[in-house]
Order: sequence, then structure tokens, then C-alpha cells
Amino acid sequence: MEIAAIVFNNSSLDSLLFSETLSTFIVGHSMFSPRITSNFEYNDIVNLSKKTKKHNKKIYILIDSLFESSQITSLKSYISEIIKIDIDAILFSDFAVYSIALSLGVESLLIYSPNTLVTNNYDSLYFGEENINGIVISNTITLDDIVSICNDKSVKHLIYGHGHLIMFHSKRKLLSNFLKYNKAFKKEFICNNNMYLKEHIRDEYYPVIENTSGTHIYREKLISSFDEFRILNNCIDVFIIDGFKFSNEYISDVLSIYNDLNSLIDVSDKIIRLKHNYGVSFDSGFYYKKTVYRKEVGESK
Amino acid sequence: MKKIELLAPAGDLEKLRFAYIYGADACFIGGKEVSLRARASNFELEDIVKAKHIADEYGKKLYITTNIIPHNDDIENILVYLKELNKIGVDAIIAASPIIIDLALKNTSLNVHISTQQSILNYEAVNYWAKKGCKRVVLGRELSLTEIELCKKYSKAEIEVFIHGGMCVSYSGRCVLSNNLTDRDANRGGCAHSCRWNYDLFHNEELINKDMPFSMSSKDLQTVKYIPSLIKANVDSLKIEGRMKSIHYIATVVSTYRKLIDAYYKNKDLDMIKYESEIKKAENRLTSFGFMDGDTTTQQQLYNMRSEKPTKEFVGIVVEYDIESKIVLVEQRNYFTTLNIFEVFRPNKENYTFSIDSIYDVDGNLLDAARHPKQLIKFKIDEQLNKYDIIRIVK
Repeated sequence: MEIAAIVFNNSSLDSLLFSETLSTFIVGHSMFSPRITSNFEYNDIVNLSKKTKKHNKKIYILIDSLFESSQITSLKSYISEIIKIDIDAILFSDFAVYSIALSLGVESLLIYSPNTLVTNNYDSLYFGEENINGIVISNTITLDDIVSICNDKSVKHLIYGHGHLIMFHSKRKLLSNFLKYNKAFKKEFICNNNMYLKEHIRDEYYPVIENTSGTHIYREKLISSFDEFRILNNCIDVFIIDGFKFSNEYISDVLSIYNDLNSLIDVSDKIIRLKHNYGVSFDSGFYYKKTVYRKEVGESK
Repeated sequence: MKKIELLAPAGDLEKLRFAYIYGADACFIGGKEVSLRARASNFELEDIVKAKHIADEYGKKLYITTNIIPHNDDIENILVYLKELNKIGVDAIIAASPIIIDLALKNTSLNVHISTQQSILNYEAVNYWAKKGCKRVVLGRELSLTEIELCKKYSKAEIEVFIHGGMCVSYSGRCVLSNNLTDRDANRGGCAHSCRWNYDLFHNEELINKDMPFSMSSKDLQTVKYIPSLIKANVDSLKIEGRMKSIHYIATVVSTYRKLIDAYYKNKDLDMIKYESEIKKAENRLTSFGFMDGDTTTQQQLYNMRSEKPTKEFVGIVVEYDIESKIVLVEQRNYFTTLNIFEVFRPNKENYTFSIDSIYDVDGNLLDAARHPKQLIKFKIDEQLNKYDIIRIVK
């Protein structure tokens, strides 16, 4: 299993470049990816590609926004230019990216990454027939279902195994509008990683950020796969770490833990230090928990 | 030029009939097996057969929503179900997941419409599905009128646009707020509408919203004044949301858009204020025009208010009318007395305002009020009424 990381920014990359655990860098630009923490311009990607290749690593590009018709021309230009660089994959969410890549003959670079929509075994077969590279499995299904999907080898399987998971993305500028309505707007609250929502009953603080792509709400607890790593290692092709809200140093520390897990080294102390140093808590998401939806289930808030 | 389709929701067979009578060209209903809105009265297969008969009776179309994003537990009987729908002869399914889309296209002759759950916002994505063999795409609700026009211009599949009803605050299909806050799966019909709850907003540990709760809740969509532009853009279908809504809501909303569309095609003057006022009679939530004019502002949000206000104005449905005696038989749907002023609201005719001198039960007993749900009430009215006409209180 390869380990990939969505890089936090363009600085302090050396530790990641020299990491034996990290195999893939994931980067992008806010014009084409909705939640990128740091823009990688064309030349940044060119430079990073050279460095990653020197260190025998890969580079994936995030082009996972949802695009409107007026953006198609710039999307086509971007994809046409990006594929000239030595990149290893493009993560996408909008089938416009697929159609454009197909017209350029590079659909085999594509990894379908819609966050919520890859949820059953058939998805693997379907996208295998589309001749794409891989699919990112949804985090809203159980570990058993994830393992089952991976049994089909038509495509590569990826999963966001560590980090703040996105719950909600709206095109609306919900923070700005609310603050303006209350005459409390401050520019500092926008594109700010330290905004939180707390629902009135639940004792949880959900990170919320408004940027040019709209409003994004994350789970309070980070998902981790410390206990599930060995199982995932046997079925997932690429395990993704998302460094959102932290730093490249954080990614290095996380990588160290998964490296030790791979070598069957006890990681309890490292996990405690990680929690302490970064003020984070983890859970296992939906690995062991099925969601419900039938009418007869009691409707509680 | 093909006339634009008016597409209405129906949560049960009675609402389906009303939607057709009040002017829908097509209706969409949920099959129990693989439809969102698990709390709606989704249809068993035998009910879908009855629904198809009703659709045929009126010469209209019937679409079945099969728009969940299924997990492995849900996929076993999908093909069998799709083949049953094919046998029944429904006019299309509305689907979002590749398994349902692909199985339908490869194994049945069903027309496939791509659900808004796919959040398709551009013509390239439309054409991806058109190339697969899908007949129509339901666009995401985040598009402005300009973007809809541009999308339609280059699309090779039919385009369906939401014109009225509840709106997801998030991109449809991409929201798992409900999943994470309540374990209820928004993509399999269990959405708890967590986006409509109240929250507090913090910057670090500082509470920002001191005066009122932070709200994401959205006003409902209402696009009366955009209908002429959508018709001019050659959009194929105008969709009203609301499988969980009442007969009164469906009849009022469908009828209003029907009259507007017909008036447009007949080159009549369009009194938008009149249409908007009519629609307001069925509103249970404030409305706005969504993204039609571009990015949303505070005008499209609900702040510091309970978002739903149940309407009590709908009081009865006409069962029959005797021309000689001028006595109407009405099925009560809400409390009313002879102190109220009423209007009758019906398809293809203007509303008629009236008062009632006396009301009686079916045995001829004088009543002081119509107080029991579905009670049959008689009274005299000079205006000829028809079965399925709707009675409202106006004062």
C-alpha cells in the first residue's frame, strides 16, 4: 500500500521528500480544488515534480471541484497544461474532467474522488470499464464494505485514512452572509482555519471555513486508521493523509506512526504525543458503524 | 417547438391524481426500494402499477426516483426491481449511482434521468451521461440562469431544472452532515436536515453570534419570474420539489406554474404578482429565487425564525356537485365555520370567492362547524364546482 499526503504548503517539504513512508504528494490550486490549503502554481508543480521524481516519489494533482459551464474553457486549458508535467494522477469529482481527459487520451491518469459517492462493489467495476486509474472510497461505509469493494481489481482503491474529513460543502458564503446580516462581518473570519460551529445539543465543535469555493464543514474528530492499518494495508492501494489545519511537520509525525505500525512497533506513546502536541482527538468514523435510513427507525435529533 | 414539461412530485396516489388534474405533464414518485426521502410515502410495486394507470388515464408521464447511493447491503435486488419497473412501463427512472444507471441502461429499456444528487453543473458532465445513453440530466440547484442557458446550449441530453421547493444548502449528494451528527444517511433517504438546526459560531473560543443562533437554513426556491427565461432557454423540464408536501401545496404550486406556462405560450400578458400571490397561499416556508441571479446573499437564507409554518387555510376538497340543487359535497381537511370567507381554487379556471350560510352533515343535520378530518360536509353554492376542486379560507 502506498501512502499519500495532501501537502499543507510549499515549505518544509524536505522531511516529506526524504520520508521512507510517504510515496505520493497530493497538491492543487484553489481554482480547481475546493479545499486546498496552499496553492501550487504551475511552476511550483513543475519543481515539485522534479523533486519527487528524484526521490522516487509520485505526485497527484487535485482537480476535484464541481465546475460550471463558464469554467470549462479554463478547465480544459489547465488540464492540457498539467499533463505536460510528469504527474502520476489527477483526482477528480466532476465528469467534465473525465470527458476532457478522455479527449486528450489521458483518462488513465484519473482517480475518481467525489467524497461520498463510491459506496459499493459495483462502483469498482463501473469505473474499471471507464479505464481510469482509481477510485477514492467513501468514508461513510464500514470497514467490511471497504474490504469488499477492494476485492475487485478493476481499478486502484484509495481512502482518506487520516485527517479531518469533510462533511458538508455549500456554494453559499454562509459565514459572510450570516455575519453581514448581524452587522458583525470581519474579513479575518473568512479563510480562517480557527472558526467552529457548535450545535446546540451536541458537545462538538466542527471546523468551518469559508473560502472562494463556498463554505466547508468538517468532522470535529479526525479519523485515524491506527487500529485498522493492517487490514487496510492488505486491500487498499493508496492511503491518504490530509494535513488540513496542521502543517507538513504534522504530516511527518503522522507518517512516523504509520511507518512504525507497518513494522509492528508499538505506537501508543507516539499517538499520545501527537494528541498532546497538536490538540487533536481521533475516532474510527464509520469503520464499525452502519448508518441508518429506514422509516421505521426512531427519528431522534 | 416542443412545449416545456411541468414536473410535479407526488407522495401518494391521491397527490399524484391531484398533480395531474392541476396541470402537471409528468410526476415523479419514490419507489420503496431505492428512493431518497425514506420518510415520504414511497410506493410499493403494486402502487406503482396503480400510479401508472392514473398517469395513463390522464395521458401524462410517470417517473420513478431510484436515487439512493447504495451500500453493498442495498444492491442485491436492484436489477430485479428495475426489470419490474420496466415491465410496468414507467416513463423513466431518476438515478444517481452508477450501479442503478448502468444496470438500467444495459438490461432494460427504461429511460434514465440523472438525479440532482450527482450535482451536475456543466454541459461536459451532461454530455458524459448523454453518451452513456441517459435521456435527461437534472441540474444542480447552484446554477444561475445564465449558467443554465449556457449549459443547455451545449448539452446533448434533455435538461431539467428545479423551479420550486426545498433546497439543499450543500451540494446535493455530497453532504454527510446528517450521517455524522445523527448516523442517518442523507444519501439513502435518512437525511435529518441538520443544515436547518441552530448552531453557535466560534472564532477560537470566542462566541461570535451573541444575539441569535447561527443558521444555514435556506429559504425555499420560487422562480415564477424566471419561467419565461427558462422556456426561452429551451430547458426541457421544470421540476417542483416536494414529495412530502400536501395536496394543497401540490395543487396550488402546480396550478400556478401551469397557468403561467400556458399564458406564456399563448403570448398573454404575464401578471407575475398575481402568480406569486397565488403561490404564497400554499407556502409553509419563506421563498426566494435561490441561485438564479448568481451567488446567494442574506436574502436567500432563513435567520432567527422557525422555518416551517403549517397552513390551515386549506379546508376541503370537492367530492361532487349537484347542478340542480346547487349543493356541494366537500371532504373536510381543516376546521372551518360559516364565519369564514372562502375561495374555491381549481385547474383551468379563476378562483371564486364565496361565503356559506349553513353547513350540514350527510344526513342533513345542521352543523356549527366542520371539525372532523375527512368529514363529509354539504352546503349550497351557486358557482358550479367540480370533483377535486379545492376550498380555502381567505378570511
